[in-house]
Parts: sequence; structure tokens; C-alpha cells
Amino acid sequence: MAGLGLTAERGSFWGLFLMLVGSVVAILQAGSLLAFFAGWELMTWSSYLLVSQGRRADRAGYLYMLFSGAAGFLVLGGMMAAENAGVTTLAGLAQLSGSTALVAWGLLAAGFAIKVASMGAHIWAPEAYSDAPDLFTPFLSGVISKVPVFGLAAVVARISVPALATGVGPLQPAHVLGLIGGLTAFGMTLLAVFQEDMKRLLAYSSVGQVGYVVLAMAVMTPLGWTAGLYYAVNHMLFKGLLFLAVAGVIARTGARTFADLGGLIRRMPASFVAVLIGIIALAGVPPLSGFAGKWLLYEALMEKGWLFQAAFMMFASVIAFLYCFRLIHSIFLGQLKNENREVREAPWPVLAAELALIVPIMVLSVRPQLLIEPIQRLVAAVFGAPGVSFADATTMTTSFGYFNAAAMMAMVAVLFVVLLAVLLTLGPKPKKVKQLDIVYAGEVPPPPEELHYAWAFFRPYEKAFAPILKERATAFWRGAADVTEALADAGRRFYTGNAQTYVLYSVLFILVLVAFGLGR
Amino acid sequence: MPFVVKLGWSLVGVVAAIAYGLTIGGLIRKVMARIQGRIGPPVWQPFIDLGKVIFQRTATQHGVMFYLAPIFRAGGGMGLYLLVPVIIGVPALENFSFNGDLLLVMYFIFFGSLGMALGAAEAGHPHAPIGISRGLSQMTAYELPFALAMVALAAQVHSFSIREIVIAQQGSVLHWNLFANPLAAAAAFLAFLGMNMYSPFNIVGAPQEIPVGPPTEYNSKFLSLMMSGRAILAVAKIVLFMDLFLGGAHSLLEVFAKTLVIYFWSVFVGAVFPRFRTEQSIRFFLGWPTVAGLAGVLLVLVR
Repeated sequence: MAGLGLTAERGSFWGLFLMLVGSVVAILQAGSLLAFFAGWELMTWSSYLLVSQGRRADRAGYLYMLFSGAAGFLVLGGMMAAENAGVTTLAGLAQLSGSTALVAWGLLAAGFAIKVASMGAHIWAPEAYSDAPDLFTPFLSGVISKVPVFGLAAVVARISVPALATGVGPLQPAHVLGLIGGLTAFGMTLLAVFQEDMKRLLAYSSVGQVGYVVLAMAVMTPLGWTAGLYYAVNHMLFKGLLFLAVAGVIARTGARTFADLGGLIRRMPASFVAVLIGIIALAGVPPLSGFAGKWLLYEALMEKGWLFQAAFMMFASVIAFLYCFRLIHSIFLGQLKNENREVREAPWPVLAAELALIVPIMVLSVRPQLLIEPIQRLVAAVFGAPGVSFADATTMTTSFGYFNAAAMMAMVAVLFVVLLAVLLTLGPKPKKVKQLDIVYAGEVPPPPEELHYAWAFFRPYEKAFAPILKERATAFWRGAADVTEALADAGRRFYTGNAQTYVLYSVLFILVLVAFGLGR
Repeated sequence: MPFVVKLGWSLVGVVAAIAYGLTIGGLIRKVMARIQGRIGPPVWQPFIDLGKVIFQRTATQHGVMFYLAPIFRAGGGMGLYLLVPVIIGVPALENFSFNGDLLLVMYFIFFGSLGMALGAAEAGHPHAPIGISRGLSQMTAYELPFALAMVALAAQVHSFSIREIVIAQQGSVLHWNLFANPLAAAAAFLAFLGMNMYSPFNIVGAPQEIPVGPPTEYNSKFLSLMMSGRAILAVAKIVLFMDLFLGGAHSLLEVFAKTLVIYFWSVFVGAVFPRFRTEQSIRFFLGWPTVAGLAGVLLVLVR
């Protein structure tokens, strides 16, 4: 729908797009391992070609292919391990046992983990999301990023892996997966805070949000899966909305960095409302639909007894507030730049597409059970029990707590109406003042470019987190590079360039063969 | 209790809570003045201030979000108050706590702050985004020890329901979470200093730096709503802390006694410490308070 308002970069866009949608359907329908892999590769290729259509996407496309290729190989390896044990269908994975199960599980999970851009293998994602065509990013973030989660769910649920014996005690592989998901959610959220480009910010945020989904799935209880699936659908709605709204802003202003924008609420009010709803849902602030996702996640973690994970996810999800506010403030609030005074509202098809996402968000905010009930049926089919129960028509309960979305929305609505009435009737009628009419200590305010605080918005935060941020990471990778170089250097010594030494090596090699192989 | 009667009691409760919050504000100014050797304003000074801003002869506004933000702020404070049961067992004072559990309360705290931040930012005064950037940064930092403490309490009684947490603390003073899990209580009460934003954590409204911070551009009736919102938000938070750590209350007198002690803990700390810089404040909360919180959760796991 948004395609009517934003032009595709190349003619092949829609053909590839249809192929991608087809491949996703193929993956979801796949029964055998081979069909799954074929769909998987088709998805990788078509999405790669779509990503590289972006204007500056050479590097992004290269990285995307590199990591997707690696993920593909790992998935293929896992499937081959399964094939060796005589398993050819997805459902058959359940028959695997012992070390084969561990190998297959490990390889498949690693492949899917790269594809969801978990911490450590995340660098492809921000590049791909931010440099892909504006028209494609919402789909990439909303739908394609969930496919590996589906794969993960299909695999983790089926293969029963023996716990690894470690020095401390048995280690459940699901714990590892949960750890990866949690670290991704925390790390990517923190990195999103420091981005200066709005699409990159949303890209990091997307990766982080998928981390929550991975963590929720790793809980492996009915409630955990309910949380994960609800979160995934909800994320698709609000992140698609945010990417679309940002695409509309880019289409009208041509700017992507926060410092070039500001004050656009006066020019693009509908886009502002879309972003406002998007960030409230993302941040999980009641009364919008995002809160139900957070609520389910924490209840699931607590029920499982993962207390530290629950507390750290609360911490991570509050960090998300930082970039949420930054997104809306730097684009829409503050001072309007002189060059943006004549900017028009986003094209109407984009707004219509946004509306198509806002409506389900609002419906879910009032009645989350419309989504949770179908999820419950699905979860019950896997685990044999639903995760959430309904005390009455509107109250959801778990073993840990309860939440009534409709009553909450009603309370907020009543308070809003009453207070608005108070504000409208009280005191004199307020006078609307001009943009630069601000209390400025008796001085004339400088031009909007100097007044709008948008660059390095969370500098003190960066300072406080410096020990775990870039400097440390850079030092680590420099150390790793040094070690690699030293190893390569040691290897180089064998290649002296002198033919005599190569002959010597050959002779020594044959001697070794004789000693170990042929001697028997 | 019929719904209409409950609604009426809630209205009474909200008005009383605002009045109580404003009175606390006056008490604080009086106490601070005495600490500094001044006489100070009368205790009812905040009521005079509120009346003054309501009846100002002129009012200015900067746009729709600026106009709506005080509603978000006051609505957020009132909503929060309505979600916290004041006295368990007295239906008129249990408010609407059946809407959701502790998680809902923890997330609804942000509703008002978010609204105020949006409105203040629309006004375009540079002090607003600077203050908000500082405030959000500090908020995330104290959220970690606070979240750890909340998780510890919930795990103890195996429920996020505030009612369950209060009921579990009955019987003896030693059952109060303040004594039952002193580590979690320490983490939460240190986080409380950050929530209340008295020095050394007053980096948002930092006097002499960014004079009043985010609400710089607010005036007249808008400011009056903001002030009421701030007052009731403070009351909601101290009632929540009373429920969580001091065993709730059985009478209104007990409510006042316990909440005043909780509130003045942050005021007295504020009276003796100078202001942190933003990154110092963040590092503080991620230091010992977090360690206390982690230990508090461990305490529950070990038991």
C-alpha cells in the first residue's frame, strides 16, 4: 500500500518482493528438511537482492550476504547431521537423541541465531536495515526477522537435547539460548540509544526487540511461548508503523540524521501521531498494546524462576525509553529548521498504510485476548496447556499476577476527558505564541539550528557506560586481531621461499604418513 | 460496594491525595528552612502558589502537545494513585488496584513523565530536552536496583499482586519486607532517592544550571495541573513503598506516619549532599544499590 507513495528504486523491486513473500510461505508450509532449506535459501537470495537495491547499500548487501551465507551453512550442517541419523522431516527431528541431537540442535540454533542478529553476530543487521530501500525496511524488520524465530521455535521444541555436563552443574541448552536473547535485547537497545541516524536507531531497536522474543521462546513454558508470539506480532505492527513514518519523513525532507530535523509536528502532525503511538507501544507504557507483551514476558520469566533475567529485561526495556524519546523529540518536537518550513505531510498512501497498522494496535490495546486466544490454541497444541487464563471477559491471570487491559484503557480515557474539561474551562484562554517566543533570560534566542538539542543527545549516558562500550569492544577486537596476526606470522615462517625446505617438508610428511598410516 | 459509590470515594481520595502532596511540599520547605537557619514560608505556601498560577491573568501555549501534556502528567499521577491500594480491607481505599498488578504500576509511572517530556519538548526551549535527557538517563539507572528489589519481593510471595505482598507482611513488624529482605529494601530505598530527585540527584531541575528543567515554558493553568500531578505522583509512590516494605497500613493515621517517614528519608539525604553530575549519578545507581538488589534476589533464591 505504501508503495503508491514511495517510489521503488528499480523495476525489479516488486517481482523480488513477491518471490520473498512466496519463500516465507514456503518456509512456513515446509514439512521436510529439504523443503525448509530450499525456502530458506530462496528467502536469503531474494531479500539480499532487495537489500542491495538501496542507494548506498553495497557494503550492507555484502555484509548481509556474508552473514546469511554463514547462517545458511550452519543450518545446512545441522540438517545434514539429522539426515545422517535418518531423519528427513521437520516433525522427525523429535526422534533425534544423544550427541546427534546436540550437534543438530547446536548447528541449527547457531544458524538461526546469526539470522536474528543476536549479540556478537549483529553487525549485519543495522547496516542492512538502514541502507535497504525505505519501502523494504518495514517488511524486513517486521516479517523477515521473525522467520528465524519460527525456525528456532520449530527446532527447539522438537529436539530434546541432553543437558551439557559442566563443572558447575548441568547446563540446559535453552539457558544458553535465553542468555543470547537477553544479551541481544540489552546490548542492541543500549547501542540504539547512541545512533544519530533515525533508520539505524530503529534497526538496532528491531534487533533488540527480537532478542526479547528469543528469550521468551527459550523459557520453554506455555506462558513463555505466549509471550514470545504475542511480542512478535505486536513488534511487527509497531515497528512497521515506525519505519513507515520515518520513511515518510525521509521522503519529504531528504534528511536521515536527527540533527537535520526538528519541529516537524507543525508540518507533519499525522506522522507525529503515528510515531507517538508507535513509541508508546514499543516502550510498553500502558494503556497501549506493548504493555501486555512486557507483562507476559515478565510473568513468564518469574514463573520459570529466571529472576535475574526478569530484572535485567526490565532494565533493558527502560533503556528503550531513551531512544523512543529521542526519536520523537529530534524529528517532531523542538525547533523547526528554516529549510523545513515548507515541508508537506507524508504522502497519503503512506499515511493510509500507517492507519492500517494503528487500527490493530488500538484494538489489541483494549482487547489483547483477540490475539492471545489464537496463540493459546497454538501453544496448547505444543505443550498441552495454555499459558494464560481469563478470570472474566477482560481480566487475564497467570500464576503470578493479573491485568485488565480494557479497564485500564477506560480509566485512562475517563481521566483524560475529565482533565481536558478542567483545562478547557479553567482560567483565561491561552494565547498561542510563535516558535521563538521562549523565556530566554532577556536575550534574543539564536536561530533554530543552534537551539535544537539533537546531536549526541545522551552524551552523559555514553560517558557512564563508556567502560562497556566502544573503547572496550575495540580493545578486545584489536587484541583478537593481534593474536590472529601473530598466528599467521608464525605460519608464514614455514614458507621460506626456498625450494629446498619445501622438499624437506614433503619428505617429512611422507615419513609421518609411513610412521602412522602405512606402518600398520 | 456499588461502582458509583466507589467512583465517588476515588474522587475524594484523589483530591485528598493532592492536598496531602501539597502539604508535604510545604513541610519540606519549612524543614529545609529550619535546617538552614531560616524561618521559611508557612506550610500552606504550595496552596497559595497553586491558586496564584490558576488565576494568572494571561496564559500562553506552544501547540497541541504542549496543551495536552499537563493532562498526561496529572492523569498519570492520578491513575497511578488509583492503581495502588492505600488500606487493604477498606474497599473505599483499595482504589482500582484490581486493574493490574505491580508490573502495571511500575510501567504506569512512566506515563505521566512521558507526557510531560513531550509537551515540554514541543515548546522548543533548550532547557527542556537537556533536562529530559538527564532525567531519562538517571531513570534507567535507578530502575535496575528497583527492578531487582521488585523481583525479589514478588518471588518471595510468588505473586506480583500488591495485595498479596501486603498480606504476607502481616503479623509482626519483623515480617515487614524492610526486615524480611533488608537487602532488597536497601536497593529500593536507594532507588527511591533517584525517583524523588532531591539532591544529590536533582539533575533534572538543576537550580543554577538549567533552572527548572523541562517545565521552563509552562505557565498559568497548565502549570497548575503539572503541580497537582507532581503532588499526587509523590503520594502514590510513597503509598506504594509503604505497601511494599512497611507492611501496608490499617488506619489513615498509620498511612500518614509511615509515608512521611518514607518521604523525609529522601529530603534529609538531600539536605546534606551536593549535586551529582549525570554520569556520576548513573554510576552510583549501577554500583552499590545494584549490588544490594542482586544480593536481595540471591537471598530469596537461597531461602
